[in-house]
Amino acid sequence: MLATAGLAVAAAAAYGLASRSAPGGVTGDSAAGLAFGIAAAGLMMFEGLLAARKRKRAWRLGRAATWMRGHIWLGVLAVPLVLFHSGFHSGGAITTILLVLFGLVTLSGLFGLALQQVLPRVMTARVEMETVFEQIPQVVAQLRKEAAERAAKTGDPVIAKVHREAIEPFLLSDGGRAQRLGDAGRSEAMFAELKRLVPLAHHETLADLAHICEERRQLALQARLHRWLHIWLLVHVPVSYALLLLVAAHAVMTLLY
Amino acid sequence: MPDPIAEIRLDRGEPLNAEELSRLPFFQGPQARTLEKYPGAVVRRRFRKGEVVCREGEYGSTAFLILEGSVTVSIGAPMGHVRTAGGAGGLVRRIRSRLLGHKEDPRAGVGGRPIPIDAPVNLTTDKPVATLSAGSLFGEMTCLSFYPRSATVVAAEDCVLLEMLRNVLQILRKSPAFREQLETDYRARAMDEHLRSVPLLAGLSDAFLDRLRSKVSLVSYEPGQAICREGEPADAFYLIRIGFVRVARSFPGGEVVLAYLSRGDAFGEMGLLGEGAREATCSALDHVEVVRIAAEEFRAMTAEFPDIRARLEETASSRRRANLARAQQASGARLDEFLEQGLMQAQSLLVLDLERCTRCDECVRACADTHDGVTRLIRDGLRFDKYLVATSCRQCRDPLCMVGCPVGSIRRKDSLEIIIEDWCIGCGLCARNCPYGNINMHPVPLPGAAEAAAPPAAAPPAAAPASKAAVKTTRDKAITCDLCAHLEEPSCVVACPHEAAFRVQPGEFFAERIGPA
Repeated sequence: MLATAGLAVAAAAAYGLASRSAPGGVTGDSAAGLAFGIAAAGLMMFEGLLAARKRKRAWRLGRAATWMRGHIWLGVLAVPLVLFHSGFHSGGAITTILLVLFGLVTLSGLFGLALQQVLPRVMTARVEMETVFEQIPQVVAQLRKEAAERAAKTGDPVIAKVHREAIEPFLLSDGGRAQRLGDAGRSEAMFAELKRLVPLAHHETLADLAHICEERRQLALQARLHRWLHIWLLVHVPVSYALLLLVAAHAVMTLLY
Repeated sequence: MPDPIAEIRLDRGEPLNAEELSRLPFFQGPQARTLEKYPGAVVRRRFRKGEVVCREGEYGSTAFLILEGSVTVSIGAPMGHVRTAGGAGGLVRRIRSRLLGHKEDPRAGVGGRPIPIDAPVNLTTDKPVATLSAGSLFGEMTCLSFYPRSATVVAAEDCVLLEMLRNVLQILRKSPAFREQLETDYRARAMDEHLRSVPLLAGLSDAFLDRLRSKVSLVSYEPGQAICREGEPADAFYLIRIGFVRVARSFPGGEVVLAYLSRGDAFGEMGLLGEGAREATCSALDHVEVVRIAAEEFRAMTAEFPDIRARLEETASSRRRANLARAQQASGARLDEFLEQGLMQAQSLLVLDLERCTRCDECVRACADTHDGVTRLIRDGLRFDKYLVATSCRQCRDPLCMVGCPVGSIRRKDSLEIIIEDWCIGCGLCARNCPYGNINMHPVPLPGAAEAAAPPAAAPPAAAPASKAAVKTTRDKAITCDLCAHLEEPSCVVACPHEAAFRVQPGEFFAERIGPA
């Protein structure tokens, strides 16, 4: 972080000096602007290497965490460099698109970083029964089986009806709050009411069924949080590739023409 | 196909055939015939004076019986502990850390306490050296439970030793002649020292020891076997000679582990001094051997030696208080959770900081990438505080996975990692024995099976299914985490982009979180 801040300050100082000496300010084709552009492009290429590093997990190319730190902080450093390169002007169509894509990549990256700081804590605190994400359908199937067995074992018509009309549909659903049992408070109230309607001997089964519903709610929450943890990558990664391609095109066109 | 068990051979010394064995003490009769099945599992080794038989800290899998001569048993490591003498930074602290002897920095309760080792003698901190003579057996715990060697053994004179693998030792331990000799030797040579080494029993007179000599018995227990059960009448007092004992008590909502006791510890006094019923269940964690003192002898001892009775009552009272406190904490005590999760057994745990982990599974993929596409790590398991103890080998101090492997293919190398040798027969016993589900059975293709399973080119299509069904193309093999020992760091740790994965020593890592024991 300190290195990034130091480099950003140094770049800002260089930009200030270059602006003073150039009558029209720094532009992309000025010497200073070109230097900023080359540095920014270099950083973007480094940013892109994280994906390659992740694909070669067994290779000893430094710890992935070090790469990630570099990805974050050098990515942040690229922001002032790009702005200094452009002289705070959007320029023509391609450079405008480049700036938009760069903004999207930066913002989606920062958004993802923020999510990754918050959501793991939320998931740890609120999803005690967390399982491997890909296993959720199997675990839910097991929960459905257990609920059906427990409800059938009692032979109680009230429990059978509740299982058929509320619990099974809830377990089959996405476990969200749209369902009555998707809300912990309403679920608790429903099971409390049921306790008054069924014999004492079946209260343990009711507790089991309530626990099964709680696990389903937690798995639903896990699935939602998991999606949020990774969904930003659907923007960040493809836009990053597009940005790199356009940067390459921009560099070639600039050098040729 | 050759019998895989016949493959296990000790590569040093002179292998003994059944005839030669039958001439040795304890091997006469059916034992010699049984051992014919294991050629090379017991060898005769000759050591010259000064030659090292085994070194402390080494991992091994054999026991030794002295046939001729004597050996010196000692601990070569400096007798002391590191004390950090303050300082502001880590570097300063490291520079100022130094080794202090127990005289220089005495610790409560350590003075004069014997050091239990894997031999029929104890060493002391003042003089960690002893001599074993012909007829003595040492290395039993290493042989039976794959513990590291507890001491260095050097030939005190030219000597002849029998070195044996676990299957031989187990046959020997079942031999009535050997058991009788073991008990006789114990009573004659080791019992006095053993009983007096137990702080609770310090002060026993020679006359009483003579009386006990013919009364005590050595009793062996297999891993998991109960030695005494909670609620049963208390009929004996026990001293542990070999192995680890788990002491647990039932509480509403489950069982709580109260303690793990090892060689030199004693148990059973609470029931005998109290209301006559066992207050906890004590069971063998591994291969355990205890010295059993019957209730009447125990009562005679406490009647004759009021000091000992007072010490025993004080100990029983403090254990009761501790158990009560433990019971009150049972629902929330993290130490119990720590023990119940078996974390104290582990030497190296893969933990994931769940507040940092983004569930990206890079660790799992890295493991698979490093191990031919088959992961040895599952990002699931027990939680302790904010940490997930991932389903990955813990390198247990007491590797229960090794108990019972019929071909001895699972073993610990000269370091922490556990390896499964190529001759694993895929019986799955180690996977079942692992209490933490960290060994998996994985189907591996049999050499040449693909060709054998494929239908001949000219065969009609209808013949293909029958052909495939008849030929088995894979064979299960046990796989477990090898800590990526060939690399500097485990791949799962290196590949984590969020610094959430660590390999840790649980005692140190969780020390602050579990609080005082």
